[in-house]
Amino acid sequence: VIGKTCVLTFALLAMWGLKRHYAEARAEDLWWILSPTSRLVGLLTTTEFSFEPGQGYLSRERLFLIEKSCAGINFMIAAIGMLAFAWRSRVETFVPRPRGLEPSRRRVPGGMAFAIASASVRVLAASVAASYVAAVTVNAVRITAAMWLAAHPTVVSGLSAAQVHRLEGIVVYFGGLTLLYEISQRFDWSTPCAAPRHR
Amino acid sequence: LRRAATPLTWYYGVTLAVPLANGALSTGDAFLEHAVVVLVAPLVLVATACMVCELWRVLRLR
Repeated sequence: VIGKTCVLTFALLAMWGLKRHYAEARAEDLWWILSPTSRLVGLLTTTEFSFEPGQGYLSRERLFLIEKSCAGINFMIAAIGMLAFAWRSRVETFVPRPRGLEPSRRRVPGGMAFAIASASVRVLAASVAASYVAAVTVNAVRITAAMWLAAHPTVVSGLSAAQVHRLEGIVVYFGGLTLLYEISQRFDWSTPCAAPRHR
Repeated sequence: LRRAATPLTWYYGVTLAVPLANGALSTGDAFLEHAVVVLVAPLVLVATACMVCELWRVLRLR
């Protein structure tokens, strides 16, 4: 229970910190997510993006700007929370347990608190890393689809360009989150953990 | 539907709960319109996916 609470607390702090960073960041500050996203979009669409100071990554050929609001930070925040929640019970995988005692007689020694905190950080780090990769990938797919829809405006009739863009965002982001959850449920955490001998 | 509950909760949390907590309601009808679409569209997606899965299951049993 302590480990699970620890993971969720760390995850909430990470989500809050990321949201604060996003609120105050300029396009330059978000290079760590905008740069790989623009490169991936460039690969998918065979378009070249160049950095425009204060704005983001621009394709002059397609007149398309990947700016701060296209960074996919909200997706990443949702993914961190979801993965930390989904993997919260995996903290036990990393915490060495004393063997040979009944569960009711097991005490949490002083060093165990550090082990739980360390295990929580490892689960959180895995959640953040997976969320980052997912955010870049899903966001690149969303931007590629947006560019394609912008080039083919007559494909969806009866809806304005803004409505199509919004629906496309919901489908790709929610679909990406669901896919990420399905993958996370299949991820094998069976890392061998060396439990110390109980004396 | 049960499998979609966790991603759905976190999606709603970030797209609706966080803006609401930041006072998005004070921006007027624009947020309400956005909120209705954000609330309904994922449910339509989940319902469609459930129907496709059910149809696939029935077709496989035949």
